[in-house]
Amino acid sequence: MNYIVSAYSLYLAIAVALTIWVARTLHTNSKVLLVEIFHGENELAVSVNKLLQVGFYLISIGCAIIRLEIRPNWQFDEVTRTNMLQEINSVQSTIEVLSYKLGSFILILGLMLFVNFFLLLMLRSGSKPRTPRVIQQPLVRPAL
Amino acid sequence: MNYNVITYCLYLLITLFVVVYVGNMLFRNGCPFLLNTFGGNVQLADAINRILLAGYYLINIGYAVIVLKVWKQVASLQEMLDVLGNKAGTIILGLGIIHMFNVVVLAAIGRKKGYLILTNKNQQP
Repeated sequence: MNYIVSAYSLYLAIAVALTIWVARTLHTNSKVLLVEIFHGENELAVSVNKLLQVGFYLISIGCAIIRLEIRPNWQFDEVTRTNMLQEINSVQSTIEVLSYKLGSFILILGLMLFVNFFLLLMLRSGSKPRTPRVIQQPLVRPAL
Repeated sequence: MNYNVITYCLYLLITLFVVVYVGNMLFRNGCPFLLNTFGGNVQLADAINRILLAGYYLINIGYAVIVLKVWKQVASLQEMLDVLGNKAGTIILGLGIIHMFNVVVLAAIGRKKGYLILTNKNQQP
């Protein structure tokens, strides 16, 4: 078990836990919006919510797994004044590599959450029942 | 366990505390504004408030974790404090600027929609 393997397992554990938390938060709270979008049809809202949730899980976890691989970075070495390949052979370098991976994944999750949210808001404003337009009657002078 | 690792742990603790504290405050005090915007629908405003809070946490903590890395080797307590002050200060300052920007935008929207009345001109003496 070297440092990279432990970094992989930590990354996967944290990423999956975060994905589950975000998906739960999003989908317990978006149910209210969906009920409003579908004009109070509860069953339809619940099933659409479930479908959206599965899609969110698939995209997020797929993205996390695709971005799993850790390659050594080029790093400026102050002693030799050149760029050297950073070796991952200590707790410190593991944290440094892991922080970049996890931070960018968290940002991607935030982006996904906001995209989902704004989509729902747009659908909500699009599905509002239109108020019938009041046509103003032209003023007609009554015939004498 | 060298100084770099201790710096990372301290930095994470400080930034997480600040982000969670500010987020809670915004969550509690943003509720009336959302209620106003969504026409008094308490359930809807609450749900949207919670989604916004989660998004806020993700964006801020993600950024704080990305900029965690310190390139140089930290060799003493003094250097550690220097680096910590620099990093945590940047995050806190950024949060403050974003927060003030948000407040100004919300106040502008509120005034435009007539929710927010700063001075009552119609008041009779």
